Amino acid sequence: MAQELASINLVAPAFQGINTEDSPLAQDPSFAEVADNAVIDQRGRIAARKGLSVITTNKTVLGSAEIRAIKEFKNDAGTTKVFSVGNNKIISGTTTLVDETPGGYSISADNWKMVNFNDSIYFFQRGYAPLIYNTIASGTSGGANTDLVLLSSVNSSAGVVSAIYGNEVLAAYGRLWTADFSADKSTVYWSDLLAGHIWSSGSSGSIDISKVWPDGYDEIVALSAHNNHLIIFGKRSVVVYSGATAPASMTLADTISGVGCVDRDTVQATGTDVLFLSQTGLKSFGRTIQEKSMPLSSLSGTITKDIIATLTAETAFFRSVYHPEENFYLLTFSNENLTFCFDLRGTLDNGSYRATRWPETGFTAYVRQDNGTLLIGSVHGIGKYSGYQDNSDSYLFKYTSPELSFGDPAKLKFLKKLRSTILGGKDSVIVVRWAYDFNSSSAVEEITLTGPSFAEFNSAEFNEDEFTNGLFIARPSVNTSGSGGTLSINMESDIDGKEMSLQEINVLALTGKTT
Amino acid sequence: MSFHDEWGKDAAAVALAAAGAAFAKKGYEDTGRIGERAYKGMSGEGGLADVLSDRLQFQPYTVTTATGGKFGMSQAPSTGSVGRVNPGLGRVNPGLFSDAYNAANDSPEVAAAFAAGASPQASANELAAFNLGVPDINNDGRISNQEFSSWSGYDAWNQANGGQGFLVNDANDPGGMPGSRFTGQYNADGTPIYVQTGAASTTGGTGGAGGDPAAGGDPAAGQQYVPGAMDYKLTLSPDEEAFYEARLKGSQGMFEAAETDTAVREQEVYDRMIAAMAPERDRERLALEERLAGQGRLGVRTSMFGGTSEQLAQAQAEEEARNQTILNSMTFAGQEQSRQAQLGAGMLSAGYIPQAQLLGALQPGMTGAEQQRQSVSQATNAYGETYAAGLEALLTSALGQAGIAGGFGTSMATAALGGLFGK
Repeated sequence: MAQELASINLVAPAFQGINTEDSPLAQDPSFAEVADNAVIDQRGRIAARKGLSVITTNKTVLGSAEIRAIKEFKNDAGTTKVFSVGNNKIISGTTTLVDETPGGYSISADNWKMVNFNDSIYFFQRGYAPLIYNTIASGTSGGANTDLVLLSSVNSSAGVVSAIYGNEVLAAYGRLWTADFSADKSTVYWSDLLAGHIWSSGSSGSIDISKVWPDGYDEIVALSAHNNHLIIFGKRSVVVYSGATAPASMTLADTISGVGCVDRDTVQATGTDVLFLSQTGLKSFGRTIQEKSMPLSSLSGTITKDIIATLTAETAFFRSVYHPEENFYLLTFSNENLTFCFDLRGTLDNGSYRATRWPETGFTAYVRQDNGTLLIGSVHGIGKYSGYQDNSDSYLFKYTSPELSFGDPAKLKFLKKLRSTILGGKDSVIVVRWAYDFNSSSAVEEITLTGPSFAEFNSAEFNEDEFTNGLFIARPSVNTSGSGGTLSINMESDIDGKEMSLQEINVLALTGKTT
Repeated sequence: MSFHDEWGKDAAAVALAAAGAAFAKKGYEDTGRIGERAYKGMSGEGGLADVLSDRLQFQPYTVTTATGGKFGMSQAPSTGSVGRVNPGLGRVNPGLFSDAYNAANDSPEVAAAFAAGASPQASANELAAFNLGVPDINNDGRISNQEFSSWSGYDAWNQANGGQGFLVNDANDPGGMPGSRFTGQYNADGTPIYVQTGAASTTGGTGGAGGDPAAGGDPAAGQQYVPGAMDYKLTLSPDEEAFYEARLKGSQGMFEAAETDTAVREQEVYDRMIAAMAPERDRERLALEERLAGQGRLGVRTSMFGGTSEQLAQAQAEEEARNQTILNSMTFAGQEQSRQAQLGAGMLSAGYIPQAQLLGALQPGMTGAEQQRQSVSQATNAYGETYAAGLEALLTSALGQAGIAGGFGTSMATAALGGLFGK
């Protein structure tokens, strides 16, 4: 007797991002096994990320190297200047990259940390004399400086010695703070109030926390400021001082043992919290403070093993950015050429953020400009996170579902048709694959998204002329074959200038006998 | 009248004249002898002058206080004259104090006897008795025969010296004469040689007086009698002397301490005060260190404070305390110096209290001695007057007798001669 096709709808599949931690069989289809070059869009759908729109046209000074760090400097007059580092140079500009390295200043590493402070931008790297681009007069002749100069050369500078050539610098509470020196991993120096060039007079000072580490010994990796606290990240612990507005009298507020920070460039302040990458995944400072006496949760709980493996394999550098416009936190492992995208709009039941992966992007630096633009550094120079091409090249948007049992893995499922609802990607080719019972080989079908359908969601039509195109919606269907107890579905498409998101997957199948 | 009558008459006159002359001569000679006798009786050796001189000779005395301190007086050795001074001499024989006497008088034995309380008038035997430990019971600086014989060691000494009962003075032994000194030498027969004041050495058994022109002394013209220089000695008892010396020594120490540069003392006081404050200071430092460690601020270094503001405050407090300690130590050292000077002055004053008390006791003693002297002087005066009166009566009688004889003789001669030449 013919059975009626059962329709199993996967609405907003993978809207909870990747989950490589839970058992595939027990997984909610809202998770994805694979979500590459994807984001969770504003409607909670898995969608293709935006691309890299390179704006640099002249990268001669960069050579074949990549941009390792980007920072936008904006002075009190509102004039902006974008600084970046790469190819052992200090570079300015976005379209034409200009070498701003001070004459006679030799650079052999590009691990610079740049901060804006008091109408100046400061450049710090371990073992290197700090640099400044500012309006502070240099030397004794007075007058604003318009070049990048040594911090020690500006007027009234004091105490700018090798002791403060730190790898980490923080601008907070009216001072510059620096730490992580070649021969000292336990001291934090702070500058005079509103004077990032004065380190040995006024209200400048230092604090040695070697006697404060909760485990006896640790090394400072990063600094952060949050809620009148100075957060000092070690490799295996975190020390928090309150009253950092008056550092001479700030007191120890808290210590967290067992949780540290991997790299200074993974620390991002989100306004209400501070995110950082620890040895066990992405952590939230606020959550860490709250939960230190309880089992710790991880913000990357759905991809813990993946992120730890990637972290362990990483031999170069880390980069991160918080972009409130896109509501995500990007974490890039440069040598692994892998970026994790954490959606910050909400957390999952286990407290984790929804995560997707961006493999093979080549992204090596990020900065969010004041106007909300996300600038991305790469070997191509500087680009914007916009469009849907990576420097005019396509990239693969890929979704793989977990093994779907449809509630009864013991019964055979005969997949008859896959019908998906895809937004965007007009004329794009979608490769659909399906496999049964954890089989690695799968059947494949290609579909091209065609059709003039337009989505007019939430658009009132009273007294409106319909002259403009809306978002392209396609509902391609694929006739499938085969059977099995569980089913996994894979869809991938080259994103080449068109956005694409997966709204729904409708699975039409017959349920067979029990296997 | 015949020749024979005339010649007989003349012969009788001549004979009568001669007899008268003889009476006159007798009266003249008697008058001379009376003068001689008067001179001898008044001024000759052993005469009234000598007796009065002996009796009126200044008797040194000693005032002894209840605590054993003594004020005594003595004639300084080898000064003035000792014993009788004959007015006929008019002066003291410069040989009165011979070199032999001075040498004997300056001997250690004599000095020891003087230290034991002997007076310069003591004889050689008495000096020896002092050195034997014979007690001067009446503290007059002399040892009488009674004092000698009542000495507890007399029997043993007597036995050791032949058991003949010798005493210090038998009126013959030169060694018993007041002021005599043993020269340390002996005659060939073994008798000791003594020396008197101004005299050549005298041997034992014979006395000698010096300076008597009747004995052959030849006083030099123009020299005056010089009374002996008196030594007035205040002697403290052993306890008093020990107290005095102790106070003096203490006073010296205090003054030496007061004269010491205060810088050294200031440093000592400062070091002790800092050491006393050290435990509390260390506790406060430790408390601050623990407080800072609890606040995680132990490693804070600031340009404004050096360390933390609390550490700066503590360092400032310590420095202020140190400065105050310096000032306090300087003040203390100065006050201590003043105290030491006051103590030294007090000790010095206290050391002289026994002496002052002794001097205070002196007046009563002097008063008593003066009364004694006045009594002796009065008695001597009475004696002298009485003696002189008697002598005068005797001389007057003798003069009368001489006058009668002389007058009769004169009358006889006058009558006789007058009859002879009157025809």
